[in-house]
Amino acid sequence: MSYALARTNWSPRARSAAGAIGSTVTEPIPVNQPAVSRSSTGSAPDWSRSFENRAQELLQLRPNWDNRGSATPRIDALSFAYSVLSEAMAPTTASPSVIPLSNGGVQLVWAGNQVDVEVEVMHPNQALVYSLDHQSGVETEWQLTTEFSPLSALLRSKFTA
Amino acid sequence: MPANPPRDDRGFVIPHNHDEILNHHHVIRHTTPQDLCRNVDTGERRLSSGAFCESGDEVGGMSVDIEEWMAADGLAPLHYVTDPSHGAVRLNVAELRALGFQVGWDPLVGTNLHHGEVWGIGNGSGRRRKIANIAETLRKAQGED
Repeated sequence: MSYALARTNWSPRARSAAGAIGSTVTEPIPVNQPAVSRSSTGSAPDWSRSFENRAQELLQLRPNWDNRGSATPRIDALSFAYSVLSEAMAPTTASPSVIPLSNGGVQLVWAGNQVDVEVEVMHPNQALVYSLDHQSGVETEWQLTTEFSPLSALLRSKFTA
Repeated sequence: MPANPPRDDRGFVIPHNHDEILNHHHVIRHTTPQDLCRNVDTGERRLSSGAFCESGDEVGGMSVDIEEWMAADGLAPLHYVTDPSHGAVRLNVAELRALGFQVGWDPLVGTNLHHGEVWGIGNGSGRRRKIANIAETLRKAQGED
């Protein structure tokens, strides 16, 4: 583990006048600088702030917000979507597009040149994952349970810096 | 006037294939800036498959306008797309039915007698993307590339 400044002592001041008779200058005490740890993840990752901002926008939508009879995005769907992200995302994973669905659910979309990944959240604990590999044309769809590792692996391999 | 659509005891239109919505007809699906997703590699913004979601009503399908019925009444395809930020796509009825969906009439009395529904899409992106693949853009939603 590397602590950037942990082993660097502050330099004792030169005793320019310390040797003078009658001087009251005292010996400086070497003090270790405080250990500074590696940058932490204490601040929210970009995707988290991005999601929260988007969720605030979506919660402003009214019934029939699109003139095609759609329901207002439900807060429980948004909340569960955030839980999914918290489990599946690395701090540097790209933010998904958050799309309101006509049925009140939300869709998380990572569209990329290699792969598209879409997560549809209908209700808490009810979500479907879809992926399309653009090169092979292979589509995969599965029900998201409490096991997030397949989704997490996909996002971390394709959409994480 | 077309034949009345089938209704349940409460008066709600139930899923059906309307005989007078012919296979060579088209339906218009409105799109909005909220439907757009961004490609993380290119920044391009396109319609997400979520634009083709059924409503949450008990018997709700995906809301559309029936283009040929509108034309017969002298209306342009975008007549009901009144918000300037909204766009629209055109879907061929035969292709929708070939995908296993039903296309029927659900008139909104007083506002849109040319209103229809596409039923059977269900949840998940797979079937919605099949609809996206056959959609022809009539007008892009604001912000769409």
